[in-house]
Amino acid sequence: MLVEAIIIKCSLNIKGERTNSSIYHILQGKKSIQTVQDIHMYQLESYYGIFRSLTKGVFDKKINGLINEGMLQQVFGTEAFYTVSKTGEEWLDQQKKSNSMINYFNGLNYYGVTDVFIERLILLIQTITNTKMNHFNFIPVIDKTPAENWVKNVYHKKKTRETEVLGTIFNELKRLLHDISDEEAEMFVDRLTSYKNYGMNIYQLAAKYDFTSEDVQLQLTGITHRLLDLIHRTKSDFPFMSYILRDISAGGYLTNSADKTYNFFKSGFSIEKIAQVRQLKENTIYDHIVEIALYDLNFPISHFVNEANQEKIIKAVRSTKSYKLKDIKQLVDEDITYFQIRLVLAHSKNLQKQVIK
Amino acid sequence: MKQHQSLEESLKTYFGYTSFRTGQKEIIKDIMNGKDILGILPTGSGKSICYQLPAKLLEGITIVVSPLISLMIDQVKQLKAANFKEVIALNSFMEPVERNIVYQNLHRYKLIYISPELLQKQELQKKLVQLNINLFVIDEAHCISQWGHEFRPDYLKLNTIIERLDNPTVLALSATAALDVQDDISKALKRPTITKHIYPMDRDNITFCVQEVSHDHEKISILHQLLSDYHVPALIYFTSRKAAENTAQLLSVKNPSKRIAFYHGGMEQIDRITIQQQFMNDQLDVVCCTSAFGMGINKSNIHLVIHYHLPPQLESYIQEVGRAGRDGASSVGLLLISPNDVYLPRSIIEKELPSPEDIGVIFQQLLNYFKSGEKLPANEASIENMFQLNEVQWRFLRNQLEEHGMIDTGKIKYDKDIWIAAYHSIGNLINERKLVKKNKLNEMVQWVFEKDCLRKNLYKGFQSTYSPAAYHCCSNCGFTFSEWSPVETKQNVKNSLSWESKLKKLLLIGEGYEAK
Repeated sequence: MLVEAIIIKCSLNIKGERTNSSIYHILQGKKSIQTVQDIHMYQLESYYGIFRSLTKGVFDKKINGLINEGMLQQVFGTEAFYTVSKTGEEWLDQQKKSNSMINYFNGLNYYGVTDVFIERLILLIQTITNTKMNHFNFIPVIDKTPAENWVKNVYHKKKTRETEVLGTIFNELKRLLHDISDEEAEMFVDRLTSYKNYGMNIYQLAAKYDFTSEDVQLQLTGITHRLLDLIHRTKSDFPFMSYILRDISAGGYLTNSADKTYNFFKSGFSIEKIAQVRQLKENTIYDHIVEIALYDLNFPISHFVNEANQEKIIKAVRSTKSYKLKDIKQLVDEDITYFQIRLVLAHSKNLQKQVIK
Repeated sequence: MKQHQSLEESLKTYFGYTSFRTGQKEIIKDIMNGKDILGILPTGSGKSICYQLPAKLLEGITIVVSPLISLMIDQVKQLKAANFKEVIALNSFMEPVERNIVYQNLHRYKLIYISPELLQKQELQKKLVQLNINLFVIDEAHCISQWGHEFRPDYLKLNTIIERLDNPTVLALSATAALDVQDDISKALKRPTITKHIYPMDRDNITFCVQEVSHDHEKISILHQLLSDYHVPALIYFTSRKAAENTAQLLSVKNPSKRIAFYHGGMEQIDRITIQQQFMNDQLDVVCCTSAFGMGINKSNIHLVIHYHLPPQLESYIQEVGRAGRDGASSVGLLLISPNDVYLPRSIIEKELPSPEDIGVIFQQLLNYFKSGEKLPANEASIENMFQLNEVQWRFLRNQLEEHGMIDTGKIKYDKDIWIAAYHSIGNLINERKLVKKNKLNEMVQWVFEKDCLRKNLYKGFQSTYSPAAYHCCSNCGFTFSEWSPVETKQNVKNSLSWESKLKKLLLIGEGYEAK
C-alpha cells in the first residue's frame, strides 16, 4: 500500500490544483519545468523520481483503486483533478504510523544517485565474490555499461585484495542495515547476488514479503535513500560506501535545455535572441527562466518584473492562499503576465527553502 | 585460417569444451571449407557452437540473423562471460546514439547478431556491404517457410541481402523443420544443392504422458501431487503469462518446501536473468513459464516438463519437452488436457493477424492520410496505436503494404487498381496463414488424442525412424507414474538465517572461502 499512501500524500499537498498526471510525472521523475516547479510549489521534493519505472497504466490503475475506495474524490466539474477525502486522510495517518518507510524518501536530493549507487554496489559484490573464488564466467545481473565500467576499474585496483574489500563492505553494510528495520534489512540482503547465489527478483521479493511488486520497488528505493542519508551524515564512518558515491554527480537539477538557455542568458543574450539562436519558441525560453529561478537564488528576477509588481503578486498569492495561476492573475493588474507570476512564485519558493535550511 | 590447431583444440581454447556434440564437428568442417549448409539439430544439442567457433576461426565477420531479441542478448552475455568479447547484438531497441557509435565500429566485431527487421534497413546494409563478411548464419531457419509455424516475411528477403554481401558461406539452422519446410528453406535461399546435415530429434530417455482432466482444479491437484512425490528440477509451460504467475503462487502455497518462481516475456531483463540463473544454479526447483523460457538455457538435469496448456503445434511441443533429460537420465513430459483447452490456441490464431474487416478500415484510413498529403508517423508504436493493431499484426501488414507498393519509407502511394488487388491478396494471405496454423493445431490435437504409441506419432512428420524408449515409452504404451523412479536432487533445507548471517555468507566472510 506504499504506492497508494504516497499518491494520497501527494494529492493532499496538491489540493486538487493539478491533474493527477502531475503526480505521475513527479514519481516518475520527469525532467520538465512543470514537474520541477510542482515539486517545489507543493513541497513534494522527497518523492521526485522515486519510481522511475512506473508506467502510466499501473499508475492509472492505482488512481482508480483509490477513487473506488472513496479516498480520492473528483473536484466538481473537472475531469482529472482530485482531492483527498476524509477517509483518505485518515487512512494515510494510519499508514504513516504503521509504515515508517513513507518518511525514508529523499527523491530530489538523490535523483540520479540512487540507481547508480545501488547498481555499482550490486555488481561489485557479484564480481568480487566470484573472482575471489576464481570463477570468471558469470552472467552479470546488472547490464548497464556505466556500472560495468566503474566495477571493472575498481576490480583492477583491488583484485588481489578481495577478502579485505568484502570484509569492509560487510562491516559498513552491517552497521547501515542495523539502522533500519529487520524486515527491510533482510529484503535488502535478499536482493544481493554473490558467488553461486543469485539474489531474488522483484516478484520473488513481492511473494516472500507479501507486497505488490510496485511496493517492493518503492521499498528498495526507500531503503537506499535511507542508507544514503546515513552515509552522508557521517562519511568518515563509511569510507567504502563514500568511495562508491564519490564521483556520482546528481547530474545538475536543471533540465539540459534550461541549462543551455542559462548559459546564453549569462553571456548577455536577450530572450528573443536566445529563442532565435536555439530555434525554440520564446515561450519555451520563458519556461527555462522560471526553472532557473527555482534553483538560483541570485537570479535577477527584477530583470523581468519590477519590484512594485513583485509586491502585488505576492500579496495576491497571500489573499488567494493558492498557487492557482488563474486565481492570482485575476487579483493583479492586467498588464502583469502569467510568466511574471510564475517567476515570482518560483523565486519566493526558492527564498523560503533557503530560510528553512 | 588458423589450421595449425585442430578443431578440438580450438574448441577447448575458446569455449572450454573437451569434445564436440553430435553433428557439430561435421557442420563446422564443412563451413570451414566454404560449403553452404542446412543444419537440423535438436534443441539443446549446441547449435550455436556451429557458428560461434567458425566465427572465431574464420577471417572476417560472421553475421547471425535471429528472430528473437532476448535470445540474441542472452547469447551475447554468455559469450562475453566466456571471454568472447568481439560480439554484439544489433536490434531496434538500441538508442540512436549508441547505434551510431556501434555502426561506426562494426569492423571491430567478429560476430554480429542482427534482427531480421533491422537487416532490412538501408543504413545498416550500406555499412555491411563495406565489411568482409565470410559467414552468414540464419538461425531458426524454419521462419523462412510459409508453411512453418513461425513464418517471418522478412526472412524471405534474406537471399537478396546475401547476394548484396557477395555470397558469403551460408549456414541455415533449425531445431524443428519438417521435410516440406526443409525444401522451402533451400528454395528461398536459392541454394538447391545446399549440403544437409539432419540429425534425429527423437529423445529416447523422455517418457511421453498425456493426461485428460475435466477441469483446471484437477490440473492443480496433479501438479501438487507430482511436486510432492518427486524432487526433480521441473518446468511447467503455460500459454498465458497470468496463468504462469498465478499457478506459481498457488503451488508455492501448496508445496511450501519447493522453491517455485515464474518467468515470462513481460518481465524486465534483469528479473528474467535472475530466474534463469537461479534455476541453473539449483536455487529454484520449479519454474512456471511461457514459451519465452528455455531458449539458450543449458540445464542438464531437468527431469520433468509439464504442459499446463496445449501448445499450438507439435514443433513447439518437441522443442519444449526436449529441454528435459539432457543428461540422458529418465525424464517425463506430461501434457495435461481438459475439454476446453483447444479454445485458447484457437482464439490466439484468430487474433494473431488482422481480420479482413480491420484491413478494410485501415485502407480507408490510409486513403485519408494520402489525401491529406501526410507521411505515416515515424514511430511504429504510434502507427500500431492509430490502426489499433498489435506489434505482430502491424509488422505483418506493413510488410504486405510495402510488398504491394502501397507504402515506401513511410510515404503512401495511391493507385486504385493496385489497392483493390492488394486488398484481396492480403485477405487471401491472412486466410491462408490462419489455415496453416489451424492445421498445425489440429495435428497437435490429434496427437494428444492419439490411441497408438505417442512416441511414434510425435516424430513421424519430421523423420522416418526413431529409437525405442530407453526407460518407459508413453502413457499409451502403459506408462503410469507409479513406475517412475527418477534420479532426484537432494531436498533443499530452508535456511532461516538472520539477515546478518546471510550477508556474512553472501560476502564469503569466515571459514571455507579460501580460494585465494
